[in-house]
Parts: sequence; C-alpha cells; structure tokens
Amino acid sequence: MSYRKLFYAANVLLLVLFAWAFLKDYNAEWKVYQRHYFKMSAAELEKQASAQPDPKKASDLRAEARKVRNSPLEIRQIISNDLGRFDRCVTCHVGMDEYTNPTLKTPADWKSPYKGHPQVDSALVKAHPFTKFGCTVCHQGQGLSTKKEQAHGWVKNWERPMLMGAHIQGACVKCHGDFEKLKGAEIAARGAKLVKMHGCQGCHQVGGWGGVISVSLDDIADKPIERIQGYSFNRVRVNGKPLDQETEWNIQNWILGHLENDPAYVTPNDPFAHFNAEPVPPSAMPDFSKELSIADADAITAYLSGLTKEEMIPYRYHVSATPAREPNFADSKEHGHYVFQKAGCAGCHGVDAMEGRRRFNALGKGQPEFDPKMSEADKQKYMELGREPHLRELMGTYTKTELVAKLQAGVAASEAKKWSPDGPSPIVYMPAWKDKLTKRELEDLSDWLLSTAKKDDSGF
Amino acid sequence: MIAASDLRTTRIIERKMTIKGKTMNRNWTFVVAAALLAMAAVPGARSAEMTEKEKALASPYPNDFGPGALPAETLKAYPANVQEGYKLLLVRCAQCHQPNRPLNSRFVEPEGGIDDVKQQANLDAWKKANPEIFKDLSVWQPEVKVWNRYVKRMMNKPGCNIEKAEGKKIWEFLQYDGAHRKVGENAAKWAGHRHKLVDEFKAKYPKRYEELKAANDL
Repeated sequence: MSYRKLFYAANVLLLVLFAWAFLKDYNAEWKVYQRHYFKMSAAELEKQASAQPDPKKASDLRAEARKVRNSPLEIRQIISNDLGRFDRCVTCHVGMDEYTNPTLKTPADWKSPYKGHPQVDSALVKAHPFTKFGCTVCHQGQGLSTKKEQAHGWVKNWERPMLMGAHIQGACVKCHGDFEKLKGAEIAARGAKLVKMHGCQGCHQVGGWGGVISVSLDDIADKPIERIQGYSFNRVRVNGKPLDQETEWNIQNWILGHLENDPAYVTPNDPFAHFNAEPVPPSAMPDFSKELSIADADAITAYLSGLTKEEMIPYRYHVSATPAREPNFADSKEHGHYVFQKAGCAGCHGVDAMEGRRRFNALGKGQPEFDPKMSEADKQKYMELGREPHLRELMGTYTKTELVAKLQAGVAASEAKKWSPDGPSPIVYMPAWKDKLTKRELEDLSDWLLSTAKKDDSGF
Repeated sequence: MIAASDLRTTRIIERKMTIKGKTMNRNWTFVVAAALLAMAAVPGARSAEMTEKEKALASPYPNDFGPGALPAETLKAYPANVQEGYKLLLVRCAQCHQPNRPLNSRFVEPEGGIDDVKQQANLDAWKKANPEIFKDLSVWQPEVKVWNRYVKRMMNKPGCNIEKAEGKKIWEFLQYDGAHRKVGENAAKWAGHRHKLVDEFKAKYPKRYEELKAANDL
C-alpha cells in the first residue's frame, strides 16, 4: 500500500474514531437522563401553558419550556466542604438539584431518576438542605461517579453501598444520638430496641456498654471490606436469595447475613481441626433466623448501618442526646426484666429467658454418650445440641441470696463441660456482673428470674 | 589369616546383626512412640468426669478434704432406702465432683419429707434444742429444703443424667444424713470435724479461704 493510501485510511479511521467518541459521549448515561428530564419538564410546562387562560402567563411558560428544552447538558455536583463530599448524584437526579428545580417537586407519576426528593416539605429534609449536606452523607454510595452502578455503590469492593429502603434510617443514627425519639427514624429505633431485646449487647458492646465476647458494634458499619471477604457469602441467603459476588457482597448484607442465616452454618470453622492445630468452634453467635422476621432483620441492619465513626462528619454535625432516664417500674420484677434486657442476658438465655441458646460442644439434652467412633456428621450434630443454661428450668433451685451471689461472681468459660473431649471448648461465658450492675439491679433481676421459674415436676 | 569363605560368613553375620539392630531399633522406636502416644492420649481419652473433678478441685471447698465415704457403722444404722440413696450418690454425683463435697457439707436440711411446714417445724425445734447450730455458718447451714434445691440444681446441669427417682433417693439420703450425723447428739463431733477441715483449708489455701469467707460460702 502506498503512503498516500495509508494516509487516507488513517484519516478515515480517525474520523470513525471521532464519530464513535462523539456518539459515546452523546449517549453517556447521565446525558440520556438529563436530556429526558429536560424533555419531560418542557412538556410539563407546555401542558401548563395550554391550560393557562392568561395569554401573558401562557407565553412566559412557553418561553420557560423552550429554555428548559435547550438547557445545556452538564455535570452537576454539590460540594460540601464541611462534610468532604463532592456528590454528582444530581447530574442524573436533576429533579433534586435546587438550581435546576428550585421547588424540588416533580409530577407524582415521574419515576426515578426523574422524580424529585420525597418529603421535601418535611422538617427532616428542611433541616438537611441538600446544598449543605449533599447526598452521600445520608444515602451513601459513590458521589463522584456518574454511572448508575458505580454511583450507587453496587460494584465490587465499594464499602458503602447506598442505604436502600428501611436501611436509609441508619443515616439518622450516624449523627443523632437521640434517634430513638426522632420522627422519621422509627425503623432504626425499632432495630435498637430489637438489639436489646434479643440480647446482642450480651456479647457486643454498644456505646461502651455490653459484653466483650465479640466485637464492639460501635463502628460495625465501618468494617473494612477485606475483613468481611473471608465471610462465607456463598452460604448466605438474604430474603431467601443468594448474593451476587460483584454487587452484593457488602457490609449491609454481611449484617443481614448474620441475622437471616444461622451463623454457625455460614461460619462453620474447623471443629475437627482438619486445618488447624486446635479445633475451632463455629461462630458462637446464636441462630436468630427463626426468631427475627425479615422486617426485624432489616430494622436491626438499619440501626447497625448507622453505627460508624466516620471521621468525615465533623463533631458539630452530631446531635448529642441526654442519656435517657430509666423508666419508672411498678415493682422489682418489672425492673428486673428491664435489667435482663439491658444486660443482654437474652443473648445466651433467650428472649425472656425462654431457652438456653446453642453452646457448641457443651453438654445439652438429647446427646448420647460421646463415642470417638461416631462419624463427624454425627459428632457435629450432637455438638450443636450443647446449650446455655435454661434459666426457667433452673430458677426453682436457687434462693435469692444464692442467685445474686451467682450473678455477681459469673461463670468462667473454663467451667463448661464438653460433650466431645476432643472437640472445641465452648467459648461463651457469663461475666461477673458485680462490676457492671448495681446491687439493686442484681436483686431486682433475681426477683424477676425467680418469678419465671418453671413449675417443679420432679416429684420431690 | 581369614579365608574368603570366612570373610563372607563374617559379612553375613554382620549384615544379620545390622538388620537385627535395625529391627530392634524399630521395635524400640515403636514402643517409645506407643508410650508417648498413650501418654498424650491419656488427657484426651479421659472422660469428661475426670475433667469435671479436676475443675471442682481447682475451686476447692473445705468439704473436699474430708472423708469420701461414711463409716460402715454409721451407714449400717441408716434405713435401707437411705442407704440406697448413699450408694447412688457415690456413683452419680461423682460424675462431676467427689462425694467428699456433699458428705462433708455444712448444709443441714430438717426432716419432714417435701413438706415445707413440717421441715420448718423441725427447724424451729432445732432452734430451741440446738441454738448453737445457727451460730456458725462454716459448720452448719440449717435451711428448709436446702438439699432439695441443690440436688435439683445439679440435676439441671447439662449432661447430668440423674433420673428423677435417683435424684429423689439421693436427696432423701442427704436430708436424713444431715439431720442425724450433723446435729443433735452428734453436733459436737460434727463441729470438731468441720473446724478441723476449715482450719486445714485455711492453712493450705489462705486466698481461697478468704474468698469463701467473704462470700459466706465456706
């Protein structure tokens, strides 16, 4: 081929490339949305102009429609210096851009991403002007992106995917210490209540209160992605469905995964020491999947999604709450029940002391004598029958003095009796409550516990 | 001079010896390994019972250092059903702790079956007849249904396979034994026994002694 022909071919190729680049840019995702938004807005204005009896006003509306239709397509962003946010969400969600749509309202039948922000007249939205707060401080996601999947954080390894549905209320928890009384944060408040009711703080600390058996939940929403990548997401079902590795292996589903699945199944570890020098028991977290509905699990996830120590939010943005006074109680038993929840006793002894929860390889009912010749499947099955004490069955055998002394002293993990001598040691223990609860609390807790005692059917 | 045939023979003998030596070494290796394995396996092969006993002894009470059985002449005087309870105690309670612990315990439950009122009446009678047994908690802890509660509590321990009927017999023994061996005409003898146990315990485990004393649990 001659140089001249090569030159022509290169020029043609360059032209094709230019055309391809132009088309790609012209059809950029955000441009398509903006163009459509302006088209819909112009049509809406023209509709209003047609219905307008005053010719002057109708003319103005038509002029406005022309202006809107010819609006330049541009990247729009909210810069929040205080919060360190550069949120380009309004590039696609144009109806939520105060400069383009000052009322922030759109016709009711407009769908996302064209519709305006819901509840714009509410105190909640007015207290958080978008131009000051941006979007991602509440909604999370990836503010700088202008592509749908990336912007919402539905991509692999994005640590803060968008808080969707009920989970958005976790945003309130981030800054509002008083979220439990806050209008609009009812689901997160319910999540906090469920955490207390089911005894999560028996093992996890929240706000400096709770057990130290497992991790503190104070910054659970900040758990880095590499810390949860070893988690068996493959075994997790959220709302009954498996999770997509690329877009759904994230912290919210990690929390949900712990609540909607049996943690011992998801994290079986190595109870027969196939890969470790010592046997490692499965996750000690109880199976909450049978006692929490999907809505309950979502409420807890909403609450926990807000437990963050996000340094990008300056302290002055936080609303501190006066510690709530303990309610008044009719009698010592009512107070005792409150203490039972406050101390997280339900984490091991079940909601309202109704059952002893699983304690892997501890002794429990229905286990045969340990036989080393048993298959591993059988050993696993019987090790799972290990249980924490069933308080209602036990309470009839204590006097108040004895019970208070027991609660004060606690029970060391080493006191656990193993079913399989070669299996892992049960790891959960009862702390010495004398350091955490007052004498009055312990006495009232004992009163309540003794009142729950199951009727004695021993015959003696 | 050594003939070639002799050399061959010598080599064969040496080879045999070497082989034998290797075999012997292997045998010894096997024996030592088996012994080591057996030693290593002992803790693993121990039943949970042993472990529990060790745990019980890790947090000792003065009771644990008293006799682990009743004198034959004492036992002979007990009714047959009570003796039966004693035999069960020696076997069933020993799953988790030595029989010394209940046999030397300061707990005393008044007779009166499972009737609280009858037990209370007998307790009140002791208050008049033996007021000294209410003055030193390290020797006597007279209390209505104290053994009843404890036996049931132990029966509720996970893995405890004591049947209700067995538990009842053990409780009957403990009630009868306490009410006859620890109070009344045997009170002074019992007090001497307990004081000795507590004093020896104090000398041997001063820290534990202070803990138990502070908790009124000697």
